[in-house]
Amino acid sequence: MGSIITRAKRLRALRYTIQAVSLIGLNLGFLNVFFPNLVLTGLRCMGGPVFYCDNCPWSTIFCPLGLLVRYSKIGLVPFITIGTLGLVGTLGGRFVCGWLCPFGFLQDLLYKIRARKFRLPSQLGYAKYVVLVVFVLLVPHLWPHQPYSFCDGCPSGTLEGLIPRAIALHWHVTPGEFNGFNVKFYVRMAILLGTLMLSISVSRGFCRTLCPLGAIFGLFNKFSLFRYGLTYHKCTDCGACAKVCPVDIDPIRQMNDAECIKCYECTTTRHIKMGVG
Amino acid sequence: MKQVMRLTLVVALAAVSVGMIAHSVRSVRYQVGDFQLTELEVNQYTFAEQITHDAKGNLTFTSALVNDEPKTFVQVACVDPALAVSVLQSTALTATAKKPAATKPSVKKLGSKKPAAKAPAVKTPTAKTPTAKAPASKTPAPKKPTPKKPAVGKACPT
Repeated sequence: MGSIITRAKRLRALRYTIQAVSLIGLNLGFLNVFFPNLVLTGLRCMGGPVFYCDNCPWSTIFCPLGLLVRYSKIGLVPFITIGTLGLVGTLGGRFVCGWLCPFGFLQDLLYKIRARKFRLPSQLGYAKYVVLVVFVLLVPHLWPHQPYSFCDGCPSGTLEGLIPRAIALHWHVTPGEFNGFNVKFYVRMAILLGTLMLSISVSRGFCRTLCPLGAIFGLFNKFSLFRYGLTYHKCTDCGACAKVCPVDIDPIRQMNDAECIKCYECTTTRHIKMGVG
Repeated sequence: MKQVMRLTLVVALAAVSVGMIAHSVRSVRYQVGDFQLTELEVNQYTFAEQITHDAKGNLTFTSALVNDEPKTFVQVACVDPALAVSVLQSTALTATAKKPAATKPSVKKLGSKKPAAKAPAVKTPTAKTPTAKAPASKTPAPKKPTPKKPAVGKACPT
């Protein structure tokens, strides 16, 4: 058991490092602080596969959910965004959630805070599909001018876009999306705080219950190229892999489940292997 | 057998995804007002946070705000800047509201709810001016924008 913990710690350290590198990569706009002539505009028109708000002043890419909401509003189909999500999902499923998503990284860190921990009912996992269909696709299309889309309440957008812009506007650095400390601002702040509080007590609470991008990638988990396999001869049904799973699934019985974020922590038990094909 | 089926599905989905991207880059054009834009241009310009112009009527759509270089999108030379902006706005609104069937074979038209309706801030293209700001890129303004009088606008001599 001791070696399992050691391996799990190593893997977790590697994952956190990659998540931190991903965070920097998604914020390459900060280079303009040091190199004002560096043009990163070309990247900003691309929708990336990662849940990161493009309203962040330093953001390198467009948030795919933001693009889906915007195209839904104007009644068009974003082929490149859908193609990108399809390609990434086909290759890795929810690999992005476990290894690249900065908001997931934040939740991982928040869960380390000593507090009472809870397990969520697995049925709540279906809520993210409702959020995807209703608040990303339907509501923006039916009521494009009403502030009821996913982006209008997105906690990641509040953290990465709204708050930096409020600060920037206060310092007269840049214009942008900030309309003052109105009701919407406080509602979004409340949603953000609620999400962060949830993340302290529930591991990856937002990813498991509300994240529409997790819902999209989860659909690919069952057949994606990078996937888990069992080393049956070693499985003693000890439950060690379930204990280390950050999304509270049983990796043996729910292998490659839509909830699995492919963090590969269960592979440290050596009963489960990761592989290609 | 199951493995083969799964790999076939993976390859097919990957091919469809790549095909969608290639199709969009090569042939999909969205009609925005009088302009046909690629998907990347729609991302960059239609969701722009502000539109500026100079005295010659060059319109500059800016979508990235901090120190990113604004890109000149439409050059309407020799036109009064205010007129250029209002024409752009009115054609965009007309195209979406009254002429939804303006088509070319490979052209996708813009839906009836388009974000060009979000009032572009009309102002001189001074870099990093924090004052005049357009509405949020994610929340297009619901009503028809009223173009402001530009500070340096003057009519074309011709």
